[in-house]
Amino acid sequence: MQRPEARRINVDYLARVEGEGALRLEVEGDVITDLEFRIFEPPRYFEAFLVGRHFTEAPDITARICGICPVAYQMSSIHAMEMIAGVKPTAAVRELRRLIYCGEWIESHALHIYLLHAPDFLGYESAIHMAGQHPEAVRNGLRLKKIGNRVLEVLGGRAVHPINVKVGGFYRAPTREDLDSLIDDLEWAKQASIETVTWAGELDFPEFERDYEFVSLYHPDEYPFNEGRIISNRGLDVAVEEWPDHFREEHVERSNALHARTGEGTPYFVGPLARYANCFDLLSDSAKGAAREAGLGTVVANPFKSIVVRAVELVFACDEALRIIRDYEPPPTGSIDVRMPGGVGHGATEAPRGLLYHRYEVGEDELIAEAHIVSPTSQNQLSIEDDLRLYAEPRLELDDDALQWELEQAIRNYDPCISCATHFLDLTIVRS
Amino acid sequence: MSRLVVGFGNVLRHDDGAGPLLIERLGSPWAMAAGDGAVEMVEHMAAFDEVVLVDAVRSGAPVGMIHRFTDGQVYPRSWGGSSHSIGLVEVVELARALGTLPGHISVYGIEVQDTSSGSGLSPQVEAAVDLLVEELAHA
Repeated sequence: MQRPEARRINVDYLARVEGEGALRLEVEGDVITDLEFRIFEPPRYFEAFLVGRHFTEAPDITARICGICPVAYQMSSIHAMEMIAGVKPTAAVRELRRLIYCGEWIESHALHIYLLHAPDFLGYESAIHMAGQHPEAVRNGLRLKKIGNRVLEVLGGRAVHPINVKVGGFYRAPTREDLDSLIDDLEWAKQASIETVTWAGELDFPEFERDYEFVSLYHPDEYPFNEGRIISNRGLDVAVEEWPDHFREEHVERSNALHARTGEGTPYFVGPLARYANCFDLLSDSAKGAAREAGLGTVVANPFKSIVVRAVELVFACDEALRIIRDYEPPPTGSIDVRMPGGVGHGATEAPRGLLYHRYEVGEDELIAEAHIVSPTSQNQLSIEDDLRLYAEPRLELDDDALQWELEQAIRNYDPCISCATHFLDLTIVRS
Repeated sequence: MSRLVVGFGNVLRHDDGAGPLLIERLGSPWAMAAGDGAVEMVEHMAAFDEVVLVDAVRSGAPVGMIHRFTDGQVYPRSWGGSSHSIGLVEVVELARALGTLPGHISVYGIEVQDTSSGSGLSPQVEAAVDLLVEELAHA
């Protein structure tokens, strides 16, 4: 009997370190025998690095885990430390934290929509190829990203690894003038975001829907950033500190990867689609209006349509930023003192890519004894693998190059965090 | 002639930090770490007559070798793996497509060895960085 043909497809998407392909697919005949989606290294290096550091260093150190979402890491670590210390931010700090998160969502979502995802839908190999024929679209994306960065600069001191953020608040609270300087840009950004929803809503999407367990924060009064309970569309409703009781990471035999699962051992899904499904009513009116105009329901279960949902979140982030700025009254001080008695604390905040969970154990000496960080992309790993398997199965008759391209596009639905990977370049010189 | 120097890389991946470390030693305010901060460069470089871009590369050449592509020489477009990551190639080509690429561009690739997690450069890479800092400081 003839052995079915075996194919190996390696998508070297994220990491260019030898042998570390991001997607490995083994096919025998018309059956997928193995599919492994490997992101870059999980933040394990940072977990070890944090041990022995002072608790106040956690935001600065963890910010370096992600170049696109440093604020998310800072916020999750800060909230965990404040839980140990038993402090709550002042009302002003609470709003400023939401504002800085708006900036991060804007820059991250804009980058993804325009430079990473849009080229797929328009049939371009990359933003570079797209820029030749759609320079305006690329420029708009860059301008939106720049506006998000400006918010981070004004609040955080700089856009890459903001330095103004600390346990207890901010080293320096912005003045009214500081924030007012952002208004014009954010007004433009809001309009551009609404247009982005319209444009994204008209793209061609494959028919592909799944029954996800959507997990996100939920807060009764606001679309979530920093605070709330962890809920799912299947009835989960727990406090942030209960994350370890309802989710777990398991070592995968064949690689070093850790897979996150629910307590029942099943995959789950975090990110814009999860927030949208769980918290739709809490979006701003403009965001909801734009979503409806684009034909979205209150739940979107097609991962390809995440581009539209990210655009809706862009509208919300602009609205929310403008609201916070308009209501802002500079506080007498940017932060409160934090006394660290030692203990265990948890933080879960909504990074652009989804729920980002931190847990720390701090000693009475105020030094970190243990750290556990679970990124949104690693929480999505199993769902992504399931999706890719389902997506690939009917497309197996494509040749390897075509299939690889389809799968690369599918991976981009999840906006996996690329900035943590080594980006250096493999150099090939062709002499003619 | 006004000049912008951009260093690409991740300082927490050993030799991949060559670019940012070069910038730090050069004393230029324009240092881009890995991640997409580099995208800002696309429009920012329009204000300069010349742009110099520095990155870590792996081509099999001896560690510490500096690949130079100065004015007039075409740097390898094959640099850059995924077409959707934002690195040196994407920044240059986006700028070219949008008309913001300065008339003078130079690209330097420092051949690296260790890009595992951690900080610090291999000695040959560090030597290459210092050499390039000297050259650029006096250019």
